[in-house]
Amino acid sequence: MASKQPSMFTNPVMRWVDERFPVTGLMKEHLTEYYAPKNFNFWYYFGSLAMLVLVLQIVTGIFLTMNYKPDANYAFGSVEYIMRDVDYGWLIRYMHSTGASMFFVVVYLHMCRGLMYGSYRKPRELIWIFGCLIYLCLMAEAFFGYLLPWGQMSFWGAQVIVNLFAAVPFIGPDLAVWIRGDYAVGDATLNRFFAFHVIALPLVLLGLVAAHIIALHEVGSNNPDGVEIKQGPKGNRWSKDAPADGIPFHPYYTVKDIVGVVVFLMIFSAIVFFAPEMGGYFLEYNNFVPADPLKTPDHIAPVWYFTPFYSILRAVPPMFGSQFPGVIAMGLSTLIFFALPWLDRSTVRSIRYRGTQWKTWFTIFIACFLILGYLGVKPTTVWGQFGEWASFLDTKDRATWVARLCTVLYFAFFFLMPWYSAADKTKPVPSRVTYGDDVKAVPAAGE
Amino acid sequence: MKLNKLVSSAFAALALAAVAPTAMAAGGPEVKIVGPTASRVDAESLQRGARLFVNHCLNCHSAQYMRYNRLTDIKLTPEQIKQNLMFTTDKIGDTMKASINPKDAKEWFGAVPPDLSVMARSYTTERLAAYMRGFYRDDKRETGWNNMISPNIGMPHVLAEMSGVPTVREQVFKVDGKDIKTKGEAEGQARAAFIAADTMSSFEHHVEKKDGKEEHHYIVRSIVPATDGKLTPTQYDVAIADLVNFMDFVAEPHKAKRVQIGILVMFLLSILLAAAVWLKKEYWKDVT
Amino acid sequence: MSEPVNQSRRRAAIATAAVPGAMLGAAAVAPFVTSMTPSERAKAAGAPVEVDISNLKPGEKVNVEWRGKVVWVMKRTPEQIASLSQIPASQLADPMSAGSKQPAYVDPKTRSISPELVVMEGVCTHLGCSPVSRLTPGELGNDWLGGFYCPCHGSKFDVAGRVYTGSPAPTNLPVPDHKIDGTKLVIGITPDGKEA
Repeated sequence: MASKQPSMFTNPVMRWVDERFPVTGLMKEHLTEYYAPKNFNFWYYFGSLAMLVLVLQIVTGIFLTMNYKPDANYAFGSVEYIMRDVDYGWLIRYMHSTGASMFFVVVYLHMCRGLMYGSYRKPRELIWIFGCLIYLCLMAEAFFGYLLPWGQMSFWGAQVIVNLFAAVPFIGPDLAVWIRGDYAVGDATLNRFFAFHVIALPLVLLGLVAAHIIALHEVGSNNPDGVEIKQGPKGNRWSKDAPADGIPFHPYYTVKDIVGVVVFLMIFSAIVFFAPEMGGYFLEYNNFVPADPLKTPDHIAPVWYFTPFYSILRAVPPMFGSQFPGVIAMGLSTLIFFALPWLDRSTVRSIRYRGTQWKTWFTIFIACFLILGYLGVKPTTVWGQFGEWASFLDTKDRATWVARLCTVLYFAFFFLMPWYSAADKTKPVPSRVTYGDDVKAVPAAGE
Repeated sequence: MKLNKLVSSAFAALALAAVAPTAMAAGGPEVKIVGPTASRVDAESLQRGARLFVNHCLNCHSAQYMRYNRLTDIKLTPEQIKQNLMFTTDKIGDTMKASINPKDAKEWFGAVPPDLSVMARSYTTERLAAYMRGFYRDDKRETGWNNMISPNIGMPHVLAEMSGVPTVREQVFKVDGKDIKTKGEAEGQARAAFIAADTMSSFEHHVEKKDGKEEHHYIVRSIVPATDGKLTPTQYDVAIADLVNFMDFVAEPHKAKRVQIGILVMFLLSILLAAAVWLKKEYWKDVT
Repeated sequence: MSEPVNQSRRRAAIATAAVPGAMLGAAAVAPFVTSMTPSERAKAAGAPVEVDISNLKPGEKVNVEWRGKVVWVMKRTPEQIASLSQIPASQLADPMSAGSKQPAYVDPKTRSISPELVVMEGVCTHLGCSPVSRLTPGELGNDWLGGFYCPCHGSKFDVAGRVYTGSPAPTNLPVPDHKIDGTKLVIGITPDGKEA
């Protein structure tokens, strides 16, 4: 890795450190001499933004734990205590609650980028796998964290999700009790979810993020053209050995990411300061009612970022008197992403050079994901019902059948990919990345 | 409509934001709300609301996360708070407790009246205002009261002295073989009555089995405002709007401050954005 | 190839971005720092404490809790008041309480508003133990005029909480803000009504 290099510092203290710790080496490897393709577009902001939100969540989280009490009798009150009695506690709490939702916004866009430009393809399979693990970890983190305010939605959401484990054949009921540490979600559950939320998962998450970035910097970034810059010509104005189409991450992408960060912070601040509840999507109205094990709310919906998967769960009908198939489908819908590098058989990476077949399937997939997400926040009857004539369907709810169709298409996108991606008519890929007014393809001889 | 709050005191006086009839369906019957669901928020409105709140609500409900000294945020002095608004404690740093013993309350109402600290956030201010205006006399109920927004709720109409005793007018539409011949006609006429009603009304459809046959009932209930109260119906609506404004403040006392800070932050961020864009452009001149 | 870099323009751009950036950075840090100050609940719990002193007899001392500290409220006998003048100034580390914590409105020698009623924090200024009463003259040797003794490291104080020389405690026992209203003593507030 970072081999001994002449120090980049003149400051004697930094020189002293550099002789004992590879500051120069690390900074060169990951910043000043990390050559990223020069043609990154809008979609490439979300990686650094995810990092920013992670830091925000950790910092605000630390300050929230200073006043939060993981005790069923005090949890709800301690959140209100933070909101009212702690100086600027409301700001820290809103930053954390908004950050949770924005984390998913950013991560979904980041994943979408990966899908569009084929960033999961060889040699970046491990980056993708680490990314999927980060995503799973993030979902667990959000789920555990959502119980902590101890409102009605916290309580019943946790109740429903933990009960999913009870659907596992044979060991299910015991498993659910073991997870809860009680016969229903209670103080023991709250206490252990707190432990997972504030220390266990953040540690795993940080480790995975480090692995994600190390793997990325090992093979180099992909780009919107899906062209491998390391295989192109060498030599640019910074180094004669670097890829011609690469530019040093620092300062070029640092200054560019700062623009992205400021725009993101404007959106983030607008939510925190002007609409922290986001119309009930970021902070649900029912969650301002303290948890009551004796009173189920009329309509229990998970927070928006889980709803596509929740819709898949609801769409699968019980089979053999068990909810288990739905649970399997939901689990599979999140795990299927891992297989993507091996499902895609196209000769090209980027959507820019793919053919109609892949583009169509990709559009269908995104549409299904959004529709499933929408249906997940609504009661099953959202689109009314079919008429009497539809009695041959086991349920007459239109929304349920739409969800079923979307679920099938969601999985078809993945399972049929080996065929349609290989059969697709692709366009010729240029040998160099396209940038600015560049004519596509044709690289000029030398620069 | 929730956003402005105290900041809006700069705006010209707008006594009542008469909101067009809003339909609300939250399980149960469909309800149409006529008249105001909010009023302009200013210190006077909040202070009037505070007086109503401590005099009526705090008898049975608590606001256990709200400290009396927070009321200085609505331009009340500590002396005013101590003399006019504190009945259960003499320490201004204390939180708002109910006057009633929770055990007694449970016996009288069947449940401990819920804490009101964040009621405006869970129930929403629009529904709260409608709820407080939705009480009517119902002799079938033990309390003598019913409510159009939350039917069969245990809470009586505590502000009856102010509003008088509203009653309800009930119209039932069903196939009777004379004026109404089909189920569709019954529904149509009921809809028409519901739309035509000029006070808060509910629309309910329920099916009764009679001699093995289904009988469809379409029931429209409309509140008949009372005239025997201390306040006219319009004055009562204003009082309720004040109360709800105050409860919104109680639910999030820092809201006004939050919006003010937000404006400053957005201003600084937009300056930073301009600078950041320039910086990026300056560096990216190198990239060709 | 490409135009030469205009270094001064680049530095100007960095400076332009750094100013609002630093302002926002400071603004972002501030809420986190202030969130660690006493909350409204802590402030309410640390509000001024009222003590009824109508039944306090000369020579009696009551302990009152204020902001998690023991505050002594003691009515001194005429002998105890007289003892304050009998101690040679050379035996006291800070006889006029110049370097000790005490509000300006109390007498520097008797350390009280009126000579009889003294209010002080029963917390040793050395390491925070609570001194015990040794109010009987002669109790700690022949020349002991009565006062307080810290059991932890042996600091000695007179009946005004003034520390004797040779004690590990550097300063006199602190006198908190207080106000006397007839038979009512309020700790944590100045005589003109400002909260501590």
